[in-house]
Amino acid sequence: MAYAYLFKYIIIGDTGVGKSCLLLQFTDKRFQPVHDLTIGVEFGARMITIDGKQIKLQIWDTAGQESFRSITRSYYRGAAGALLVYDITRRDTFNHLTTWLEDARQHSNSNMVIMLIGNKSDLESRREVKKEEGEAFAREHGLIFMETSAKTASNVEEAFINTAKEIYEKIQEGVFDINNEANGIKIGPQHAATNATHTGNQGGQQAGGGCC
Amino acid sequence: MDQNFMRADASLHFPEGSSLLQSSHWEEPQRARTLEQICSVFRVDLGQMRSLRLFFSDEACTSGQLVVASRESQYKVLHFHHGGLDKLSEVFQQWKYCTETNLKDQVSEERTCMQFSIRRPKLQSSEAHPEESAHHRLDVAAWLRHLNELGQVEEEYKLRKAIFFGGIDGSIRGEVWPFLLRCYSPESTSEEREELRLRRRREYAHIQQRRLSMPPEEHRTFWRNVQFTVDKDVVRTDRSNQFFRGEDNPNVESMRRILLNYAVYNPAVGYSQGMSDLVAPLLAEVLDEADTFWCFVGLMQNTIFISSPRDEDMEKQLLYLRELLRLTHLRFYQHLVSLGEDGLQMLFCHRWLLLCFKREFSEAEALRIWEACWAHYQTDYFHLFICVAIIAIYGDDVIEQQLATDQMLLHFGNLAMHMNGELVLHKARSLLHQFRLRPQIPCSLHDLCKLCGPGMWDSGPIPAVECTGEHPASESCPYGGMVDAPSPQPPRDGKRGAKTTREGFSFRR
Repeated sequence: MAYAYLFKYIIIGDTGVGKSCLLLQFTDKRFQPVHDLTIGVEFGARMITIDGKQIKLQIWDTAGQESFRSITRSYYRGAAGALLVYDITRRDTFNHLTTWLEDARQHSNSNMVIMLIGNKSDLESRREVKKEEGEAFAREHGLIFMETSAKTASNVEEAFINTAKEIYEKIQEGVFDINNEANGIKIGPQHAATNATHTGNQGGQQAGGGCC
Repeated sequence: MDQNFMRADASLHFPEGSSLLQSSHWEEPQRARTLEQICSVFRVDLGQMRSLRLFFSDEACTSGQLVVASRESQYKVLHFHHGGLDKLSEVFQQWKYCTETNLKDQVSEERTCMQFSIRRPKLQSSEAHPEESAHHRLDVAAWLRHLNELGQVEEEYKLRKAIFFGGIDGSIRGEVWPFLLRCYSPESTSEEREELRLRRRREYAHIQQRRLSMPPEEHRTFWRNVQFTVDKDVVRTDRSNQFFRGEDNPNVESMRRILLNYAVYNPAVGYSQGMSDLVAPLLAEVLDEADTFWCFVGLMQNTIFISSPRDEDMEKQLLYLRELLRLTHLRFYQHLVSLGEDGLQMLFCHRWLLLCFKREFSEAEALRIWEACWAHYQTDYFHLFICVAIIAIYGDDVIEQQLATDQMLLHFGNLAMHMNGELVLHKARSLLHQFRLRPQIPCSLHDLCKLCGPGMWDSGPIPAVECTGEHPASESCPYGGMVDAPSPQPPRDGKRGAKTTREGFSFRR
């Protein structure tokens, strides 16, 4: 599968806010109410199109309680985008956002695009955090904000894609140095072969090339 | 399947991304899984694949697995349970793309990046653990033979050895596991065990009582730090296992109580995610709640790698693993080094260590691996040999394609539940044997042997210690290792080499 860019995303937030479900909804378009809890680091990937360009999102997902330095360091390193997730039915998860944000800012590069997600918007009757509060937090910390439901798929596409658009704009503006992989962006084989007559993926796939 | 068919199928229909994210163990009985594999259709252009590997699982090399990997580390694993893989192997060996991969130096324009290999189960006879296949699964009859008339285990070492090689029959796991998890000492008589069991049953009830009668303030803290997460986690642990399936399953409630009570019993450890994954199979085999609780206590005490999931413990395991790799699989080690710090963190094996491979293999195979580790036969670190075995068997792509850190994670992540546990165990036992034959070991691995009961080198030659020279703030090697160890006699060729005496290598300082 040829792509122009690969963006590395991470999903962070308290345990049980629906990180893995958001990922699954985005990559597989399905909701699994009973999902074995995440241990270690898991992966998802999906191709999207922005501005006519194929972009591969490589999304890292980890346990909300993950505390190994070695994991957190590698997890944050080189992420171009982050989804910071809380559960609108649990105020605790909203109250912990500041800690998550500090962690993210400390471990990752300053240009990382962070999208604040209030998940489980389908559970309106159990809501504990008002939408306005999420918006205010996002404004205060310079984040993009959206309420989603991994269950109904509401806004899930938009959350991942809008984050990608933001990253893409930053690339266009030259904020991201795409030749530095520490920024979480890799140039794919399609981009490299833009001017060539073929669009196949014979090139750029040799050892060390960005297969993934 | 003929060659034209293989070449004609041009489209690549691997699921994009994460369909393998869900651990689907227990989801279907084996038969249904096999059926599904027969019925589901997929197409790949083999010429565009990253690798094509055949793993034979039987001596005759007819059954096994065909593993096709796309360039994005997505896998199709085709199981040949009843033979036929040999025929396919012949076809592949004649096929242009496959033969080309052997002509390493003559890279043609059309050459794809495909790798092709065939793996036979037979290890070199000199390589295999000499006691391999001398043991059968421990069944009721064999188990009873290990007990004397008072119900004491006669020769514990022999029992552990039998379990290490042959595993335990499912029907008696509930009875034997408490010994492996050191709930019962092997010297205890049946009568003493019954007494102990009753006493612990009362103690368990007492712990539970303590939990249920917490003052409100304490309970609020407990709820926030422990109970909230436990409640969330038990309903997403092994849900596809029949034993835990369905709404309001009483077994889930048992699992929940065990974890909550454990956090009361051992507040220093409390609860951390991953524990539910470990307690679930215990409960499903031991069945009784109180018995399972004490087995779990034993598991948490006696398995180094999960007793306290903290940085230091993980770092220590990773350090040993890196050193073992350097010693036994230098090419892989060098690849990790070339990736820098991220590579050396070996993210791909954190889950292996934390859950003792539970999410990497089918339940039956994972439990075999647990038993082999719990047997503490010749080493307390058999799980590290399992890690090396997985890498040795399934890590070729990583080196040949120089996979980056994330791709490596993806590679091994996608292999989860698709690896052959028996083959891995076989290889791991062989690696342990090889390790024991070494004339010298680096001082960095000295402590790998320290905790052993009847030690790793309880028989046979004792290796010399070679100092790796990495001792911050100390001038000399604490293990008396020589920077340039005198080269000992070669150990193989029938003669037992390295005449170092046992006194020359002391496990205790």
